[in-house]
Amino acid sequence: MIRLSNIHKKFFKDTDREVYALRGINLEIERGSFTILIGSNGSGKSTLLNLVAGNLLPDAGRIFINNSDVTDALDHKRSSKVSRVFQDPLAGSASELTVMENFRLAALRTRHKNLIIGLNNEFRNKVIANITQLGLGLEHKVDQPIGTLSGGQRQALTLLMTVMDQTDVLLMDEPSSALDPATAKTVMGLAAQITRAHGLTTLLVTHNLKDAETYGDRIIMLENGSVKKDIQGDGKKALSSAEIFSWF
Amino acid sequence: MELYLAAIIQGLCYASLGIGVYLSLRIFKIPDITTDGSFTLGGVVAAVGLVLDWSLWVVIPASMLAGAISGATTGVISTRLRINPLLSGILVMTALYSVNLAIMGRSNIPLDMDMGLFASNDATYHKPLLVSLVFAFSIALMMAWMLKTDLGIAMRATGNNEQMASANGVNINRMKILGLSMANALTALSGFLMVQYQGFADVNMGVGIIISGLAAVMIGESIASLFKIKSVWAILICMIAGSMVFRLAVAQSLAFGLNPNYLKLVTAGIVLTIVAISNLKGKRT
Repeated sequence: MIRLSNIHKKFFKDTDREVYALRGINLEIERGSFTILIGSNGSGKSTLLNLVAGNLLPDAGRIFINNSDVTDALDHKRSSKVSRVFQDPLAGSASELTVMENFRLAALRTRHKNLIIGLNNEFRNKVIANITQLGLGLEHKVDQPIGTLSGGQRQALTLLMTVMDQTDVLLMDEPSSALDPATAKTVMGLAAQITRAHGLTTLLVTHNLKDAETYGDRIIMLENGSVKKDIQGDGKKALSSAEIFSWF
Repeated sequence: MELYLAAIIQGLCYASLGIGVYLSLRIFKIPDITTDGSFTLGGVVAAVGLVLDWSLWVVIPASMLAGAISGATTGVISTRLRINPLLSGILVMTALYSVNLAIMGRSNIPLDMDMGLFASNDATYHKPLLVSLVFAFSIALMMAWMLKTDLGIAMRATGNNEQMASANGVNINRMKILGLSMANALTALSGFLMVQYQGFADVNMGVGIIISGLAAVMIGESIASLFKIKSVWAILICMIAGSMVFRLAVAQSLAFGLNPNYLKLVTAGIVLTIVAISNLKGKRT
């Protein structure tokens, strides 16, 4: 469960370039729900996601994840509860490390990084089994630097990496926007599958209205840093992309 | 022949400096100038320790610890005070000049040649060669192992993609401080070896020494690229080879009758040439 209580965030505070990104946001996102976050550019979607992730700290208000106050915790501390998929398909993995090493780091998200060689056969077999399920043929490339793979392949692997260790919340910032339509469909399908299988509380920022229609059980639209629409349950199911478009 | 043998031994003594620079520059992508000060610091602690008749089992960790503290100081200044890492390194390097003088109590300390690791009954190069070889390969082996551990993976991820590392629970600042500590501990170890090899510690012995480390890295990477080497262990061996090749190039310059006054100019020129060739080659491919 994610709870945002009266969140305010400004950028370039007290300058003539001041931007009021979020204006007193109050939201409660249920455990295991899949929430779609939409809005025009500059509406505050990514700021909200970064605040939940801990990349940004709010000017005012409190953030709770599973009833723990995480407002002042930086991203590496919140990573025990939160995992992320970035808009840039290259941002979620370390290009110079092999696929296997990237997965090893992801598997240690909530644990200490010790002076032990954790890349043993047992771990390798587990990762290969997971990657094989993707059906992308990447199981033969686990010892290659991940930077040698395409953006779509890296994004799919990043999604898989998010559930290598225990996590409660999955934050996705336009994960398919930089991918071709076929790869984007694969990645979004995988995201939905992972979310369901692991019962994750998911927040997806998207500009793709078809995705907004297809996925999720709740849709929130932000405008000028405030919540303009918040529809869930049957109301969300009944929404069409054309209707969502009419909100803009 | 002796000139080239001496160059090889020096190259081996400077190998841990090269591996230290590889760690800070290539793994963490931090141009760390602390090197000039921590190299001297390692040498100074070694000289003072040997003069005070400390056991080598105390002198080695003491030198490395001193280097680690100087690296950690640079790390803390750059991460906690948010000062540019280059400037942080310059500040610590400058401060270390006074620290080194204070530890020595004067500007240099001569050592008896029967002191320390390279002390030998005969005047041949066998013992220094063997000792420096063992040190260089042991360091490369330990670093290669460390970089393969979970901690090493977190370190490499930090240098490669901070956002990703942080999202996977890595405390970036702590990792950078640890990395700079390790890099400067290795640099100090190099100072420890060189002081014993040359038979004295001098407060200016580290001036411009980062060039030797950079040369080891650049030449080492060229060798690795030439032989299409990918494994961490083999790349670190290339750093050792790079360090030796650089020292041999300097020795060759002296053998051609180079005025020693121009030695630093020539060493900078050698590194510049290597970097330029590597950059121009990269542009064409």
